[in-house]
Amino acid sequence: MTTRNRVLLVEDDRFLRRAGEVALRKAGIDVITAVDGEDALRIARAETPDLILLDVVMPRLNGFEVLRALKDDPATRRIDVIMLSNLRQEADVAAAMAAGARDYLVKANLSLSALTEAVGKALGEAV
Amino acid sequence: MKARCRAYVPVEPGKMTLHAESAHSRGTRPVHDARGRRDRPHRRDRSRSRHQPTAALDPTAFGTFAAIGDDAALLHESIATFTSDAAERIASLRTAAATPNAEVLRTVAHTLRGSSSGLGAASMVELCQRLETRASVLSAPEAVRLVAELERELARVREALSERQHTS
Repeated sequence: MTTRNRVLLVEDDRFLRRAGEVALRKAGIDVITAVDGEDALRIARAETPDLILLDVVMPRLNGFEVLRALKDDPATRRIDVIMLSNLRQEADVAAAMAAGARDYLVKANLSLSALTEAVGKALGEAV
Repeated sequence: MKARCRAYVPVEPGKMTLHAESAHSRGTRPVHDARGRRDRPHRRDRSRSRHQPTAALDPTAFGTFAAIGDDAALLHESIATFTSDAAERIASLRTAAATPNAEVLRTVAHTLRGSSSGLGAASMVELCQRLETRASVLSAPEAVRLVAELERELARVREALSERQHTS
């Protein structure tokens, strides 16, 4: 990737957050992180990243609430959002897509290399 | 930009097939899990607990993680984070199982399932899944037994991680 795109990784689990952060950095992607929903909204508004990787089950605001707030705000509505979750019922997926998510990835089935690949593809299409 | 939904279904350990499907075209059927099974509550919990012993860590999943975290200090830090957070969560589950408190069992098991899957700790993932999906119907003794099983599995994972750290 020639352009260093910026990705906001929102994940309350510090092990997964660190692993994802390292994997993306090694792929040449500029990563910023947030630890919960409120933190995510604050950082998204301040930094306007190219892509947001958004966990669903989190303290304070959950991923669906964050997604709706991002899409309701003219300053952040154009940012692509990929949901990352272990909730894999059809209703959860459909709700995320209806709220404006670009993609929905099930963490339990996702390796770090597959995550990096999905992010690279999303950024490639976005730029 | 066109929105879409994907489910990753491994066809063999560590290799994934991408299934691109519209969220709206799939109706209400459940998504399949990593082993291709349908995601639904387990009916015979007792029989499932007598599973054959499996490796504590999926070697392919951990290999992916280790390859990316090739910095030994970083690997050590990540493993320490996982094991200490997992131990804290199991302590919370133990307290919740005694009541039992279904909401705490469900949410904590969900979080622990996420980090366990990131490490490739397949048996921990399965036990967390059982706690999460059956939280509201488990009796206190059943919940306590599942949490104890999870605790034993964490000990196996710790051992496996320690071995990996010494060989990497």
